[in-house]
Amino acid sequence: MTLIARGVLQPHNTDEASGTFTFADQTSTVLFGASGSGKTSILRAIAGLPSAFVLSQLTHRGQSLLTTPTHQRPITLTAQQPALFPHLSVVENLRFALKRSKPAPDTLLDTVIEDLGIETLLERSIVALSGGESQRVALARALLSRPDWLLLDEPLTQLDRKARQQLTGHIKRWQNQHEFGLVYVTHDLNEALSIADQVILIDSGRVQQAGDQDLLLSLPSTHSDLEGRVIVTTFKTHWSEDGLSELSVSNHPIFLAQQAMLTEGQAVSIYIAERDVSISINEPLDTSILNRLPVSIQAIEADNHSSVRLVLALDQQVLFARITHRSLRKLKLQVGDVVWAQIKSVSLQP
Amino acid sequence: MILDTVVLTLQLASVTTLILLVISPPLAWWLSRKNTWPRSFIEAIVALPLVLPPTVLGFYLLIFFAPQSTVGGWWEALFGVPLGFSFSALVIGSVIYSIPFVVQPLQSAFQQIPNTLLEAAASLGASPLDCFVSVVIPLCRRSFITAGCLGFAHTVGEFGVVLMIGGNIPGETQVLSIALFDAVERLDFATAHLLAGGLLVFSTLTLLLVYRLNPSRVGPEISQ
Repeated sequence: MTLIARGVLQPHNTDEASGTFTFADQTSTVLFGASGSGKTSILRAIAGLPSAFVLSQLTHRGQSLLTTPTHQRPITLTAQQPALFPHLSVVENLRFALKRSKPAPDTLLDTVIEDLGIETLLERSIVALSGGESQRVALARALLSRPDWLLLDEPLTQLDRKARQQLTGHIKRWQNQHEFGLVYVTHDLNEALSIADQVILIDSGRVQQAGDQDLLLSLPSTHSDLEGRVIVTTFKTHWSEDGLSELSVSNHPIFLAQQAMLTEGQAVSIYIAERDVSISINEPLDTSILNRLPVSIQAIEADNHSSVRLVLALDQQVLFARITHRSLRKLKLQVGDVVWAQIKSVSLQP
Repeated sequence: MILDTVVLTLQLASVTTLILLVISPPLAWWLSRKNTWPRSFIEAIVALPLVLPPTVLGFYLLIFFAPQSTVGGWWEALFGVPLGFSFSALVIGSVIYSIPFVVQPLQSAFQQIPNTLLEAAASLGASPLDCFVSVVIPLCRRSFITAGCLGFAHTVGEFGVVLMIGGNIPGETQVLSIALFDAVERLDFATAHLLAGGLLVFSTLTLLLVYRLNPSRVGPEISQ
């Protein structure tokens, strides 16, 4: 009892064997991969919309859906840009979906409205909604269409962190209660961690790796657009024999691969991904990591069950570190502590 | 007599507009979505009345409607009356002559509907027809009104085609524009002023309504 989609992402791939995606019924799968890796194309192909991912097989509970037109597939896709109907009010948009779905209990509409916190928007016109509000309404509409498979393509990108956390919780609960399968595309590790039963890493339309949540935590940070912070530094000098350039932030050196075009005194923005920052109580002198900064812990955000984010401040600048709950306990870290942030990699922010 | 002519003209324009509002939406939809060779061909055919002298169209229709021709003979066999110089002939001629004025505003409105909305509707379970009725038509409401107004006004204002295929039978095929022509021929300037002034006011009001509905959209694309 699964959904199986097999195909190739044109023009990158011609090898079908590696383009087989298997989603178990009533579970949630997160598709994870860089921009352009084919996540959206795969969702569109499954929904029956024009796509660069060309299917050779699409089977749902043993039956082929390959020639079934979009509106007859038991599948609802919510695109990244919420496509709400501008001639209908918010609540009419919701009813549009409800009217065309499987028979639903009367209370369903109210429950969705309450869960997604859109009670006050109901009579509003679509054009009067903010990006985040539109995404909430689009998500509500998708839930109300009650498909066997719900495909969500980065549905929460315009919402703030807290709202994202809350809504992923609701999505997950809905998925359990209403017993549909969920395929979820995101760049956000926290979203992925709160949603995923299964994780599939994608590259060029191919399954690179499939597994459970642990797969996400083992990823090198280059693998995804994880969250990080940009900090502003000043260029100091080149160390040509080492192939490095030295920057300075609050009088602490930061080294990165030599950037020949920099001139002395120039302001340089650098990006530090949260997964590339680790924490040490004392200044780590006997380490291969060149970049370390004394920082104070501003906040500890426990946003999923396996790891936490530390919000770190250095003068007026902020960076993030992601560490496990275990490390947090072991080091007995608390807000206000001054610790050393070790930075594994730094990239120039264009 | 003028009243008869006014009633006949309004009848002709109403029937023509109704027929056009039934056949144009599917045609305009097809033209707005498919970009293929046959599309360009059909698009050119639809636009032909914009550039062709009405007398050319009228001449060919006259030939087609003659009892000796296939269409004329078939019509007479089916309905027992000749097609030429009848109200039906006027309706057919008017539909052909006014079709670009209805198809073009609809086509340009349909082209502006983002694909994402149609995809969302389909994904939520709306069949293509359902989608057309519950998404496309409401979104293009104004353009439907515009198209109807232009089709109606253009039919009221036509002259050449009607003259060629209708003859000039009072109460049967004599419409306002031809009655005006007649009045001038008779040097009956009082009647001529009445008819010309009436048509001028009617056309101005119709266009005013159209432009009020569409501040900028229709203007330059509609040309005679």
